[in-house]
Amino acid sequence: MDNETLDRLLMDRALGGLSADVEALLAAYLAQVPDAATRAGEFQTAADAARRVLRSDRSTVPQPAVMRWQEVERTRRRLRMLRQGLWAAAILILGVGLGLMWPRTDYHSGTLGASATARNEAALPPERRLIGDFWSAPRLYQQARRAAVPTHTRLIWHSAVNRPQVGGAL
Amino acid sequence: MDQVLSRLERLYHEVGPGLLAYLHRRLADRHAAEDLLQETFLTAVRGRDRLSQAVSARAWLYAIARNLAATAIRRRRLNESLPENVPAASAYEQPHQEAIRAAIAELPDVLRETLELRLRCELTYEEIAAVLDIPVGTVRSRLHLALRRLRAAVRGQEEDQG
Repeated sequence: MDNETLDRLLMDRALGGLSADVEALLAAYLAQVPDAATRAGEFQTAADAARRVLRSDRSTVPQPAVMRWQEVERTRRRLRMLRQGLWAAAILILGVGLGLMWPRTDYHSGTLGASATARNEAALPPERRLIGDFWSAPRLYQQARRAAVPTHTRLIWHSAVNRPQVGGAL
Repeated sequence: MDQVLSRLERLYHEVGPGLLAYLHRRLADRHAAEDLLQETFLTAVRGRDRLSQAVSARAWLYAIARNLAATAIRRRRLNESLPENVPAASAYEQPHQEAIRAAIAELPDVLRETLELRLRCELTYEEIAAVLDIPVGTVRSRLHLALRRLRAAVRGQEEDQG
């Protein structure tokens, strides 16, 4: 093992940052290499002394201000409820506003925006007008007619092995 | 008291002494440190939802305390004076301790803080990384650098005595 790697391991060991199995392996290695064991001792001495110095001013901690915590917690809960209430009110206002702005259905005549639809219908040529209600039979018939294949074309089918083709006027 | 507050109270007794010492050394003022310790836990109560998400509750508390201390230092323009930061020597010191004390006082702040979080507060490398918001590799290299300097101080003292 090179010195740099060994030093890093020794320092982690002195700082208590090695896992148990790595520490056991390192201890076995140190038992065989006295020079490395000396270096390990130096790092350990430095770390232990630093630990003692840094921990020498440990003192008693004042009691936790639990009453204050509870007070903060109550305030936090109240604020959260207030926030939730404000959200609910905002959503309600938004819903009511949208409801008021939305185009209304005239339930008495059963048509949506009846006057506007009637005006649009009147502007169309007679064959394209929607007759009656949305689901009415005449309207569906008009739609089917518009979608049908034009009758002025003919089917050209010369032989049974070829595909038929749509040709010109009859 | 609900579960989170009970857990925080347990954490207060468990982490409090180390946290207080850490704050004391950051602020160089015992009373300010005590106030900030209480403020740390009040902040924790306010942000209690994050307690359950934190990888380490200790690291989370130290991070709060560190941020509060940084704000307090900025606000009061406290300059940490090194002799106050390192506790005074007692009459019955172990060998090397005086040299180590001086060496710690001479460490740059980033190295000293990292070393303290490891040796005084007993945070793991990962927890220190979370508190200082740096990679674990940086924590390791800072600790190694600090320990090398302390070892050099011990060696220097031994050579002087020899």
